[in-house]
Amino acid sequence: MLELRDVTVRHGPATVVHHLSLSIATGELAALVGPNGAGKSSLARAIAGTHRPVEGTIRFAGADITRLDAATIAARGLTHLPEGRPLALTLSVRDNLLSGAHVLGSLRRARQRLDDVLPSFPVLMDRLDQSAATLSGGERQWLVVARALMARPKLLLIDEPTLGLGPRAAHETLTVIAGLRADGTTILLIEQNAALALDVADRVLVMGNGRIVTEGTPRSLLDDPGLARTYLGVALRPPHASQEDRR
Amino acid sequence: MSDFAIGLASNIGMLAFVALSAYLLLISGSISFGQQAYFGLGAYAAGIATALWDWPLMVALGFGALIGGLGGGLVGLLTRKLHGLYFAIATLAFAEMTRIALDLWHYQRMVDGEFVGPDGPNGFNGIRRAFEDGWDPATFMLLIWALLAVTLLALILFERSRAGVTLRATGEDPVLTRLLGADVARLRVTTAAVAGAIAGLGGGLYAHLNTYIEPRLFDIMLGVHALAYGLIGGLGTALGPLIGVLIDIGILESTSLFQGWRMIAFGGLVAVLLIWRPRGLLDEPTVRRLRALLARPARHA
Repeated sequence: MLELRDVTVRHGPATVVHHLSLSIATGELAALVGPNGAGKSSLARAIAGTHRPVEGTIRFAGADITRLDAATIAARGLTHLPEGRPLALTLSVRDNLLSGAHVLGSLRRARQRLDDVLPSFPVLMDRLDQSAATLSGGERQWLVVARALMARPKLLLIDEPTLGLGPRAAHETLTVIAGLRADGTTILLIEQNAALALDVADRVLVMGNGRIVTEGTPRSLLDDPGLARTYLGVALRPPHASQEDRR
Repeated sequence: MSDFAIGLASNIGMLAFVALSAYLLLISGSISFGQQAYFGLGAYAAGIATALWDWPLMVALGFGALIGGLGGGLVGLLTRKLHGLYFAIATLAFAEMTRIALDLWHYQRMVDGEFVGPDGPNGFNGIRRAFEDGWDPATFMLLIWALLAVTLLALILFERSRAGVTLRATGEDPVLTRLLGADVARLRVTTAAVAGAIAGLGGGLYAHLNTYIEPRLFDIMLGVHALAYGLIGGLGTALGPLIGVLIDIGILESTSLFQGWRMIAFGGLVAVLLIWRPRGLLDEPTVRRLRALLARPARHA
């Protein structure tokens, strides 16, 4: 579904991503974890077309998208949810959702799509005619995710969805994201909270200093606590791990 | 209706065009201090078309809108990547350039024994086609309001369209412009062109009602008022700017309530509203509530 070959990203004189290669299979929920400054968000922007890499190729759904602009990439089904939860706060929840379906071509199709998306987000269903500004942080994140789904994306590139959320809202948000994968959407989840990410991901890519340091299943990563401590700065204690697991 | 009331209604209608023009850009997230330029361009273009080229009034009004739209589209194209303060300054610079260019422009012809046409700072006299064709002030006022009603209806329908929803969403957060898969640069240029055309149509009407125009009329004060009308009346619906004009011209200017203090009252009103209701009286939540109220009896019926 998504394949990066030798991608290098620079911010001015600083190289933030070094000759990075990775691939995401269709239907997979891959998590990209790593400390602050590892280059995760820069990589996401390069994939989404908002910051062009200086080297390498990015292929999505069989086509080279390295030189395409962000709007064209979005129209092809790669939807980027950047950190910060950008929303039109004075607009209603409904209009925010409808704006996500621009690529579907007509408002009639957008309304039909709304009927498909809403059942997964009962909180939003009750608040369709409220301003987005009246939603809590967690609800705003769900709105951002739901708006992305409106475009029928093939791949969701979700950057730090739990940033600034309380533990409960963060957990619920990742549950929603895991639910999307179950519905067949391919997801690349960028998450600093490695413990939460490992809980939902099929595969984990660990990034440090602009490179993929290691990758594997959440299980294999947990079995190497030294690695987790070195690159994530924390000893991992995923919420689902039992006492026996840890021993 | 008295002559005073007809004049007042005409003024409100004509200013509403330039207010709607600024409003359309406001909801797309752009603050323009330059919509007066397209009002002026439309006034000159429509005036020249009837007074010098002898075109029929309606065609000339359309020509004024076209020239306003071309001006707006051109500036929109040049400024499509500018936001915030930079966009505002660029639009003001273009408007001032236009006004100064009109100050320097002489294009006159002998018509019925007198020179007619733009004469630099001396203005442009003799745009009498409307009254030669038999329009009296009352019927011309109706024409202004009929065209305004059509424009308002078109804008209200546009706002409920896919492009309208996208325009408002991207206007609020520029980051969204890159995420929704919309060609926002094209949307912004088109919006600027349509906004220019709306102002140009109002300008053509203005020229034919007053029969005389001069570059000084299209200075920044008109642009600032155009912006303020939307901010007072509200950015939740195209009816907002019209309410702004009604408050300023219909109440503050036409009544002797404030006399010499009108600008102070108007400025104070803008300041108070910007603090109390930054998106105007009819802001988005108010419009949603009103719509829900209006929809309820219809549903019961």
